[in-house]
Amino acid sequence: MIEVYHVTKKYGLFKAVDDLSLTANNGRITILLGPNGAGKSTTIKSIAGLLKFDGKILIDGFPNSSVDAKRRFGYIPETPVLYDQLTIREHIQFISRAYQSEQGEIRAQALLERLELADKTKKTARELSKGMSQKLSMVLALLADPDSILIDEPMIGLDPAAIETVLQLLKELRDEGKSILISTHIIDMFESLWDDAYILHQGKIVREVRREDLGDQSLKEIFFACTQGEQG
Amino acid sequence: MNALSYLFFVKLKAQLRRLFSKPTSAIVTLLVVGFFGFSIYSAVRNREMMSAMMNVQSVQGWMMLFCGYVLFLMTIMILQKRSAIVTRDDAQFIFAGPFTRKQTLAYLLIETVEGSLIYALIAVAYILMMMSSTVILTVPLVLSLILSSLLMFYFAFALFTWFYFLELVKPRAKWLKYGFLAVLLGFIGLIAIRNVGFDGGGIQSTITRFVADPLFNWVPVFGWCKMALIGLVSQDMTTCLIGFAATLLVCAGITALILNVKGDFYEQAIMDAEWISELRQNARVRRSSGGTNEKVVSVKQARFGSGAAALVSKNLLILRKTRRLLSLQEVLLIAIYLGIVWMNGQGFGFYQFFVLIVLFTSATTDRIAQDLRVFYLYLIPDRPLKKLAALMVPSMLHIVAVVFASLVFCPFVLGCSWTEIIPAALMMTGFGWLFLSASLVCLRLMKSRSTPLMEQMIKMVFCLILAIPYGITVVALMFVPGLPALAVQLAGLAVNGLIGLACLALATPLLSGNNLMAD
Repeated sequence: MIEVYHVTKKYGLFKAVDDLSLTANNGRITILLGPNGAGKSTTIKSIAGLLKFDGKILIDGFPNSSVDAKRRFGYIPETPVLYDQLTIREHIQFISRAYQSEQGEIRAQALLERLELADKTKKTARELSKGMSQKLSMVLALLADPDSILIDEPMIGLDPAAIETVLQLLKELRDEGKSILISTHIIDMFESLWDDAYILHQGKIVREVRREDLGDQSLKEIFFACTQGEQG
Repeated sequence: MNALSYLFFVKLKAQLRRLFSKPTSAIVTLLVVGFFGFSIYSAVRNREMMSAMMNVQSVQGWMMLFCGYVLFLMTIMILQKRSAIVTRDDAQFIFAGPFTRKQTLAYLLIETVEGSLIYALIAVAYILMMMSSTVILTVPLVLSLILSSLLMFYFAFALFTWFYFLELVKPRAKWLKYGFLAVLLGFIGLIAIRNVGFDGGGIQSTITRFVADPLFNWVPVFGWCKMALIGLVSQDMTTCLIGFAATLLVCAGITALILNVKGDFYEQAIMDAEWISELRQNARVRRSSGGTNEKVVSVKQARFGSGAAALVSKNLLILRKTRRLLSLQEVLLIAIYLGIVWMNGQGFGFYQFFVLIVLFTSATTDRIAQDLRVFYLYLIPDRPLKKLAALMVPSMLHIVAVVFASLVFCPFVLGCSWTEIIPAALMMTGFGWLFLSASLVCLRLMKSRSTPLMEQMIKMVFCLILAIPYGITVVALMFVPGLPALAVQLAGLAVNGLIGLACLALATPLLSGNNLMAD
């Protein structure tokens, strides 16, 4: 479970995230929705411990910067960041050993096959297309079998078939009881998938929506109402 | 043109604003500028008596070294297979905007002047510090040095720009640049050959004659700048004026050539701008740790340690695959310094000072900073200090390689014994470690490497301060009778080691989230 309490992130005088609190529960897919510059990526990066912030973030009850928390979550960034000189296989070995995950390589193999990368393990990262890099990034985030998964705009660079596979994978991970927090501005992509949604605008959460409480309105309508028509 | 001038000044303002954006950054910037100003001021004030002849010889030597450096830079730039003259942001604005070709080219030239001035000032600050011990520095000499440095850099950059455009417009014109380089370097080579074995005095006298050869005054720009400075030092103002006037004329000529470039180069220039921007962006977000042309060899078996140790394994694997423990530039620099010391007969002590300079420039956090931009580092479940220490291993290996390369030929070239070399190796390794750790603290202080130049300057100030305990220890131990040099240097190593460790601990918060990952 991911718990965020009163997180504020400033860049100089500018507040990218302003007193933000949210919870991503186990067995649910939580999406962070917002127009460009709303603070979605900053929130995800803060949770992942990549940025300094004011406030408190817990992963399964552990402070997000602790070693215990780091063992429990995986992070998929918007832009895949890999080591150009290493092959897919070497990336997997590196992350498996860094996370001390004994089953990491076996789990990675299964994911590579699902994402159609299994025959490319000898390719170096710089030989991969953006889509392939994104897929490898997902494999690396999931190979240690984390309980919580942070995903920043996950579908960028993926082809339609890969998007379907990833959506299916996310459903399966939810069914395994993992908490998944996704930042996105493409509502349609996750229309059938989300359980909880937080709408961000100018660094603040302006609306929290549970699918069960949605009623007649669609998430898109709520989103546009909250963000005063700004494009997602 | 107003829009382009506006763009230039806004960019300049933004660069200055970035340096003064935070109180710490502003204070450090002022301190660094003050430190360099003071260094130059004290260098100029230090007018110990030296014979005029010695002054001329020294200026000749330093100018030849400087000319060699700019020539080397220019040759590398011109010989690049692919290059660009603007970044993506600028390209989209200036090439797509409502500007005439001449306005666009003038804007590029103004940027070239700005770049040349920055390079010139840095180079002059560096040269003055080196020169101050062997040359009587006067205000006119410093100003002339700045002017000649500016002109040489401008010539190098402008010529590169002209060849770039020429090749875009007429691909076959690339032979012109090869021809130009061949003639220029060939002529300099001939001057060198003409001085070989003239009086049977060996390499030392060959180089001394080469440095003073008046034929070098015929080398465009480089020879003329040297001639101007020699004219100034030997109070021959006519020679000085002729040197500068000729250089200015050539620079004006190349400016006119660029302003009158014809043909359609916009499309390729934009494509090149896209390419260079992507390279830089990749380097920033660590998609790429080097150029896309970097050679990578495959490794059959990779083994990884566990936890933070996996970082060490990963970096060593990259080192094995890229084989870039030592750069060609470092090897060349070491060889040049060794050559200078050998020629001047300055001895091993002086050489150690040069090696420390090489170590200072080599002990950068470039490799570490690349890792700091990759999020895996922060996510790996291990203690921050362990992870930071793991990152230091390849950089320390690099330092050890530099120390080894610097010292391995000393017994043969400088005739020093192993009892001198081993303490020196300890001292250098200790300082390498200190420089590296200090770089990390700078990185933490400056938050981002958006101003690597400023970081380098701050690092210098830091390192000077951090070296004080070493100095006190070594000087104090020298008064202990009968203590061998090895023991003194071991104590020095321990002091620098401890200070380095303290720096490492100070830099650890870098791994608890920082703004390097904010891009």
